[in-house]
Amino acid sequence: MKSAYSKILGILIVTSIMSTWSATNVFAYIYDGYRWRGTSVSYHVNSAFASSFITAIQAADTTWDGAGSRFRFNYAGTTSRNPNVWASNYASGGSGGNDTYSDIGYYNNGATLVYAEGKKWQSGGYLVEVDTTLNTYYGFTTVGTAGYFDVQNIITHELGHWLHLVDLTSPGYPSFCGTAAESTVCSGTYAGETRKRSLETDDKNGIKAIYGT
Amino acid sequence: MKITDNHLVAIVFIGFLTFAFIYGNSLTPQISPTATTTPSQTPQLIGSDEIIAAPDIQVYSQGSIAIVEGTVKTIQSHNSDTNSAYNDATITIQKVLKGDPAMSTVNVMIPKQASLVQSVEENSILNLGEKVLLFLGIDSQGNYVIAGSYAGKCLINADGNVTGQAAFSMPLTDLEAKILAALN
Repeated sequence: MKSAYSKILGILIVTSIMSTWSATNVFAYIYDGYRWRGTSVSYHVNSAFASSFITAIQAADTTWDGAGSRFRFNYAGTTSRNPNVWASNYASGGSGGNDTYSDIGYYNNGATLVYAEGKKWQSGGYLVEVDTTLNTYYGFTTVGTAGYFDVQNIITHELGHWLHLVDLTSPGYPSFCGTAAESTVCSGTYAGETRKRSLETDDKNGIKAIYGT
Repeated sequence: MKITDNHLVAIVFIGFLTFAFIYGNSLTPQISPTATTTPSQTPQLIGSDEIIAAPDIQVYSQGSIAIVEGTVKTIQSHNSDTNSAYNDATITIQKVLKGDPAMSTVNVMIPKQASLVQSVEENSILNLGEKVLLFLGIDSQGNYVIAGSYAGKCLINADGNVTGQAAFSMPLTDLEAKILAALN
């Protein structure tokens, strides 16, 4: 009898440990429920961007394309459109909002400590447009200029939002924001940061969960 | 009651089901309720995401235009435009840590609640009566905004502690000292 109780106790302990481990092993991504209808999105980049910036943007796109999911970002060239997601009329369809085009643009939005922002549109339950605007109050670079923000780093983060992955802010497990192991969709950055150029396992799990492999 | 091997098998089976259930749920991404509502065919703006200054007292202290402590007294549509996606919150200032020391009030432009879809953005809202320490930026239109969208808002609690981004959560007196040290 004593032996049976010992076995039960052992089983309960093992089960408890496994359950506790699995309950805390939640992937560090949050998907906000909307997705693109297909498995790709075409985007344009404002033509005023330097070619090195466009190359950096495409590198960010390629990083997500290589995450192991079926989803692809397709660079469709430059455009004269320049979305300003901070404009007071963006939400009502002005300044590049609700024009069916997904674009990357720029605007000097002042000293807000917000370096870039994306805004998303849905129709019928699917994403139909996302625009991202870089805040050129701050300096951006592709060559590591001191005090400037790395374009590829910023855009890799922002393209995570194009997938509708949500900003993470938790400094500890499981997203590790603020550490070397942080997810690319962690919302904080600093001048010179490049670690968001590459994806962490959680970022890849996010895109694969939404679009499949 | 006598414990038989059948009981043990049953316990193992129940334990396995419990494990499988919890583990299965852990693999499911968190999805907001918006995905289950009847979708609109008219394109609808569903939210925004920013990349902001990482929460660091020195960065926010030096990068902010003003840092104030005060209480939210009024909230109204930005520039009295009810169609605006923004509100203006008027803060009665009790202390200025950075900026014009003569400031007694400041209007801070904040998103309207209805325009928010993500929990992380909730902190970009100011609510009537809240006592706050705010790191403030200023946009190109001259509007004061919360620096770092939501990160620059810190609630001052009755117990004398401040809660906000983790790096800013500490006794108010400690945060004030760190801010002043960062500015010197």
